[in-house]
Amino acid sequence: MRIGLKQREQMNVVIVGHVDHGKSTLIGRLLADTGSLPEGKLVLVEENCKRNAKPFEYAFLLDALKDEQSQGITIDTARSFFKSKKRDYIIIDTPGHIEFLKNMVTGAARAEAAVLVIDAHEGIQENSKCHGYMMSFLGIKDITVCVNKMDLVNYSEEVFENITKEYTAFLDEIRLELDNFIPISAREGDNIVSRSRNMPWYKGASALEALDAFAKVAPNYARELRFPVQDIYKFTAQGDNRRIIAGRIESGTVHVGDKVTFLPSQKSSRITAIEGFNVAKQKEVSAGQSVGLSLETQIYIRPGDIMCKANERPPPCGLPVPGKYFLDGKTALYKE
Amino acid sequence: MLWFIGKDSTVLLWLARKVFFGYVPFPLVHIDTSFKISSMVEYRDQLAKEWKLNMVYGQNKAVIEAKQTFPDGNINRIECYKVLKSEALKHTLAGDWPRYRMNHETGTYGVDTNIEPYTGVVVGVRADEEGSWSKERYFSPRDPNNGWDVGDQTPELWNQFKTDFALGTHLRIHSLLDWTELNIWEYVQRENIPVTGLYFDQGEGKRYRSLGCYPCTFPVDSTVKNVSDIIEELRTGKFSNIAERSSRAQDKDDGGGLETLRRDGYM
Repeated sequence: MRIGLKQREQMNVVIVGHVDHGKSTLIGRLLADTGSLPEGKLVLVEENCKRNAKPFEYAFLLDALKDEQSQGITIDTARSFFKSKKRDYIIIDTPGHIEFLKNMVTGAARAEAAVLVIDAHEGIQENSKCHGYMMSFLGIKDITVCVNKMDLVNYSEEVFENITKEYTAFLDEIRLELDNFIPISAREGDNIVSRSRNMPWYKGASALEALDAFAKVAPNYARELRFPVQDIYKFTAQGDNRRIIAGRIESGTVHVGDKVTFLPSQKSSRITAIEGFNVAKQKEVSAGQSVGLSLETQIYIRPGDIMCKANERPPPCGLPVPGKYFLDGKTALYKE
Repeated sequence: MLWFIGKDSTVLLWLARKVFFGYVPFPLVHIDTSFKISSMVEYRDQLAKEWKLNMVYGQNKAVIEAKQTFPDGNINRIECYKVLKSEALKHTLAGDWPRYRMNHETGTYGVDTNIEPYTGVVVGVRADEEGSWSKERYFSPRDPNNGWDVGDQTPELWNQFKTDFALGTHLRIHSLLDWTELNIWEYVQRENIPVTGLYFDQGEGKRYRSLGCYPCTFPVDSTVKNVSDIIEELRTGKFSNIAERSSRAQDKDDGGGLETLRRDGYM
């Protein structure tokens, strides 16, 4: 008998914001205060700092590369793992330096929710806005802003309110709505796990509570079937005559016996079997599952085709593609 | 695909069988340092036969025969690792050192006639194991000298991956980046994947948590004898706060974690 995974909910959260506003420090602090660090790790980093005559920073728990520690900045996005009572998190730390925006976008694209960090002392900077914009562009809807380094502004409610007002005005421009603004000091541990006594005027959630409040988006079971064909396999050399269409179901469900249509060729066939290795025979699979399918007729389809159900609404097709583009090159493009 | 016999690369191998409906359509490469605990090699060959794997191994014969290894030779752990593993891996992948391929008719290994370089490898590293692994991409191009430019990696957006690379690129594919040690064991349990017995206590109150060469890897104190108890031990037990690779001596000898080795071609 196969044993099912006792699965805890898992969520990817990205931490973004301008350089030096304390993203890595916030994560380091979250890890340390929730007991998510391996034993001795904190001591090890403290000792390393002492040896190199550097002040201890929680960020060093995250910035693993030698270059990152020597310059005190995050170069590349990094994953770290921690648990709250509610669920497991993969926290994605991102670089706040404008030069590494590309790395930040990579980290953020994997996230379901975001925490944007703004330095209370330095205020809203170029990347506070740029990253906010990137969040909306990547489609991340659940965002919390942490106004960090409140200790440097004497935990002033006025400073916090001003930043909140100014940043909300910017968010209105890009039509992004926020869950909340939280005044924190990552270095001192204020409002990270529990409410801080240094800011009695703040009655909202702590950073950890805000993470736990992020809503998990459910897979699109109820929508129409969309199955992008990843590849077509045949293992004739091993004496297997199945012709298997492999891919992951993006939305909807599919049953054995369903009539399906492939786009853009409009070729149709019927599902005869759902294939898998080391799984019980299935009659139905749905969104989020990676599966193999066998068809009744051997039609020629290609990777990249989209399989839909013949009796469901087909995806809208059109020629003009609305979208925003950016380039992945090492140098800027110049017009000759 | 690199199969170093441990739990992670065995899960990776299992995932390949899932993806390809029971078959593995590429060679599996193991680097035999000759210091592997002998039951690891037996376990490798047993599964290779049972699952009909295209099994290949490589090795740094010269230094092993000259005994220029730790602790016998005048060499430290990191240097030893470099010659036994990184060098052997580099040359095995490049095809300029002999590769030994399993002959499924005889069940023995012979020198492989295919000396074409492997231009890409699938590797079972996990981001939670080590600092520099937490910075990896799923598809990571390296230059012909194995160079890794951490600051300038390819963007990976949503689940869209760039899989086309310039000629001469050496590609590393990291499928398990988002898995934790606990996830690995939970999956081993769910799928009932055979793992080597070294992970379990054989009656001496010790088991391995991470597998490497015996002079540099130490078992941990544990009386755990099966997969579900490992899961329980990791969830609640004394290991929940101890780094997994802390039983690997060469990590500690390198001030920057594995970074030095990694930049030099170690996985």
